Amino acid sequence: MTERAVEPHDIVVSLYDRYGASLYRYALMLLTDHAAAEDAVHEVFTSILRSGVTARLEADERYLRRAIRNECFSMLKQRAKRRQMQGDPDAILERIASADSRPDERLGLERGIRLLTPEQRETVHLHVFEGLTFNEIAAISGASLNTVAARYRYALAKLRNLFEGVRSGYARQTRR
Amino acid sequence: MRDRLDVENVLREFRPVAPRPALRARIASTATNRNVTGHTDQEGSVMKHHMIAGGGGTQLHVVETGNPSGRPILFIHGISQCWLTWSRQLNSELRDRYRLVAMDIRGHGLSEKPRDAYGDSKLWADDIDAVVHALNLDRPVLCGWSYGPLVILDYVRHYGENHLGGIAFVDGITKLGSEEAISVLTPEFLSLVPGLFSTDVEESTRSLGSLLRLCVVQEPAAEDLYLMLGYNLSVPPAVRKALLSRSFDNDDLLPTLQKPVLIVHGERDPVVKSSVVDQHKASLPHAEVAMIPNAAHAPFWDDAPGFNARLRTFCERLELQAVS
Repeated sequence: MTERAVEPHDIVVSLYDRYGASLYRYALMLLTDHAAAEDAVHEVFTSILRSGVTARLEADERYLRRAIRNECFSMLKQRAKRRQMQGDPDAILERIASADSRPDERLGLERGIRLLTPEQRETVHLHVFEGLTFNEIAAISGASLNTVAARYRYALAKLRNLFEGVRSGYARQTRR
Repeated sequence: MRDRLDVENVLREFRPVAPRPALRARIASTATNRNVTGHTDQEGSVMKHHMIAGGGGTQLHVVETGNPSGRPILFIHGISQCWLTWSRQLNSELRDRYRLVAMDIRGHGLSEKPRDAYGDSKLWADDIDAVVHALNLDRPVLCGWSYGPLVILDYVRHYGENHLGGIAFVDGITKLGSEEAISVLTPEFLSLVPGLFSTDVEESTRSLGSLLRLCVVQEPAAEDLYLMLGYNLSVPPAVRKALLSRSFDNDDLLPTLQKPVLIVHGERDPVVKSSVVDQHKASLPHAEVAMIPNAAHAPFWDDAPGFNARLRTFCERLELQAVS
């Protein structure tokens, strides 16, 4: 039996299968745009291929997360110079599983998330959706623990204000 | 505190949307086509590959290199070719100063090849607009070879020229599907057209090989010739047929162009007659003309240093005009 050398192609696809969805969701929360999130993930995997360091990356989720973060913030800088996107944006959130589904909740949350700063979105994403502690988020973002906690607090306050507005509007509609 | 927990709990009922399966396919495809990246890396330049949704959502493969803060030059190849056509520009000293971007037009190279989406001028225009905006190209020079100027003019027809810095036609045509359009094409090229549409592999290969030999003065090295033949054969005959079956002209549009125009033509072009230069010059009195001696249909290949110098001078003049 002959052993086949592991090709960079196989490593990259296997890396994607392991971490792709999580990295994509991180990019989507930072960029709030599906096409841009796909481009960011694609760019990171392409750069891995270019750099030829696939072998040592096999289990390095931290490296990939940092690479996605750098790519997304670089894209956000570029985007600030570009023309505004037109049309209704696609959904960025999906409900995990709940029978009690109210259509206004997702829209209200998404509207709020889009109004947060990228750093606030990042903090909310890593803490709520990825389950990281503030210490771990501070290490990823290069910010102090206090800054991370403040970002989270301000983000939730903003979301709460918007979300309450949407809820009360929905309550008025359903009472009629 | 209760409200804060409320929002957190509501958030926890959701999660960000998962990626489309197409993303995995895209990454796997890039990994498979790694040699394309490797080819340019060997030349010492860093190539970024992009997939951009163009007109009608068609995915377009676009490559960029060079100075990210330099003026962008967007290269648009001719029928049946791909971005590799411009390798002698992408790997030249132009990259020190300019942001060099080369796209695979729809139906070509690694871009998507829809069955029937080649006859609508707006789709072609949308492709260019998508690349310009997706890559944030600030007042790019659109440099089109052979069929490329038709695509450039599709863009100008629908989007105007305000976003452009300048336009370069390289051995280009600006009309199709009429006696007048055919009159600027040589009998040598016209005799190859049936073979370009053929689905017979031998005939198709023979005709594409002959077309490639018409593009250059000297027989390319075997390595280059087979690479060119490879990417030519990757274009379905139906795509070539659809492109050449369009029927339109830009006689109304050319005299309205205000942006600087460079017309480059190989003096020994055996595909597009040099009389086309006179026609274009008549409609574009402000255009600069550069006839490249000892060059055939692809002067950017036959005399890459000469071509690159012309392009650089044109771009430098744009900078001076911008300053003044």
